[in-house]
Amino acid sequence: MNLESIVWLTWRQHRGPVIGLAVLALGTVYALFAGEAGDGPAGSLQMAGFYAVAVQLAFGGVAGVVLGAPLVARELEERTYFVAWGQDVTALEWLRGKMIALGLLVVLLGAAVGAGSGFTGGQSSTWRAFEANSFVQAGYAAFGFALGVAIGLLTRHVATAMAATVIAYTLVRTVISFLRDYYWPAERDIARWEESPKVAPGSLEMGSGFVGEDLKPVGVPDVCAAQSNVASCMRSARAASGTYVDYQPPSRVGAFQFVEFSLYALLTVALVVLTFRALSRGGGWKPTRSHRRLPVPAVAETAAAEPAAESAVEAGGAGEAQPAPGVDGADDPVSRS
Amino acid sequence: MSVVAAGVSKWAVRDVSFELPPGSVTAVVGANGSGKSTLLNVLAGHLPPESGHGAIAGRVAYVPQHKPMYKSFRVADVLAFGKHMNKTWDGERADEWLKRFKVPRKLQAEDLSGGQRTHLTLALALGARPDVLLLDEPLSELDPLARRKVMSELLTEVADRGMTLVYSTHVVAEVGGVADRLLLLSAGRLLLDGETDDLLEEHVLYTGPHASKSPVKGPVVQAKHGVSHSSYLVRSGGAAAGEPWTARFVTLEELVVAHLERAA
Repeated sequence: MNLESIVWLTWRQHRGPVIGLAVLALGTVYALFAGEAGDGPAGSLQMAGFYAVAVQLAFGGVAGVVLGAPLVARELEERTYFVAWGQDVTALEWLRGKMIALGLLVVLLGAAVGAGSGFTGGQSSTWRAFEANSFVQAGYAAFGFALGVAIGLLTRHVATAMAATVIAYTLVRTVISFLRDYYWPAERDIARWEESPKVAPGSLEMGSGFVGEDLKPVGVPDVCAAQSNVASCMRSARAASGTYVDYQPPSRVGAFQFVEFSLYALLTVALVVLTFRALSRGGGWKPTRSHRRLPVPAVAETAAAEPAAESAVEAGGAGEAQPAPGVDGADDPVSRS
Repeated sequence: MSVVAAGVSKWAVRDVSFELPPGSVTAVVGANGSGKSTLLNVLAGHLPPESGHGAIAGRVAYVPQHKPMYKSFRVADVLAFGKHMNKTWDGERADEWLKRFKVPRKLQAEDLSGGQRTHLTLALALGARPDVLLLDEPLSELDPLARRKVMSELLTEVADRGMTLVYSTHVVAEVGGVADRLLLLSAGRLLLDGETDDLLEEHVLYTGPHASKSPVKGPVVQAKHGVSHSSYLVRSGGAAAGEPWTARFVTLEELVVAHLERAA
């Protein structure tokens, strides 16, 4: 399957979702940069930026649903793989061509979606705009697409694959977003009562509390917990010698984004390997049970034993049967034409 | 070869072994669910057998029973698809087939009638220049006149290009005068395999007085007993039976039904 054929087939089969996804991505890019520039009617641009950030949350999942999930599932559900896969273009070659063409497109559009943050004032490298990064968004998009393809192969049903992709993508993104804060151990700033905390602006605060004389975290006694000003109570009661703040400094945003991208890239590779292995073993594209379910016949043995007598039925007599040789004067074999 | 039906622990096709001579026309006959489609799927390379193998020398084209086609593709798109998906594409041959059966080029596949879709899938298969053409119930959506015409055209292709044709059917009338070989399947097992004419000449129906034994030697395919008479369908190779037995050859339909009833 050469490049021209891959491009022709991909465009002819997927041009609708491709155009839709491209419009969504490019519209998002425009809204992000317009939001960052802050010129024009401020209210509408802020809203555009808000929607664009919402797209950044969901773009990978959308790519998985509209392009990934139907890619194999539709071929299997509508059984068009019978005409697509054959001697000249095997199932693996077909999948490889499609995944390269559509995967590259999805990654590029994902990178575009992550090109801006939508926030004014150059906040694109802060924790607040963590997902506004081309590598991160490309990773999400590649993962969403590969997830959709894998689920489509396993479910062999488009609607089921789409729904399962939404659920699985959301689940993975949610779980990893909780893990994200712990890619690196947090830094801890400790300030005695007479000092001020020295947490860098733009840091991601992960927790805070009080420290004792040994500068280790201590709990809040019940008597202070009931107070409106807990810090004042802790200090006057000498229950603590200061406060602490656990945080991820803004200088780590880039490193965390790289870890995030790498994590999704690894998941993508794992899904692609799983998909190709499943397809090469034929497990994913065997006709479903309903395609060729058999009744429950008793498999007859082929012994040449004489069958049991049946009800009285006149044998033969129908059609153009000819007399056999040696009987009723038909001495020669009868030719049939 | 043997194939297990997907998702269930039973055999879809079991212990099936046969050869397809080049240039032959083979009919795979059997009741619904007998394993015809499974067998063709294995031959087409779409289904791996659990044991054994299905191998075909040369290019294979396969038209499944449900005539799958991309719904949004116009007829012209299907031809372009064939060109892109086949290394040796004969566009003229495919185009000629569509013209012969007056399939409109501008319609989308989902708007075609069942018969037109059959012609479209056949055109796609023939355009691939197959050495072996596998057709799973190809005539099921055609009217009687179209069936005759399609079979005639396919036989012309076989004669002109030396193509080997294998088609499945559960209508025995579609075998007579067309197929020179017959494979009869029941519950995934091969009941008969041979030249159609040879099979017909080997089977003889003997009718005579009530008897508990066949009047001739050979495997009894079917025995029926009335009050005063009995009849035996025996694979006797045309052996004669003595008086008072009468004998005659059976029709292809009688032959197939007898074997299927015996296997049931």
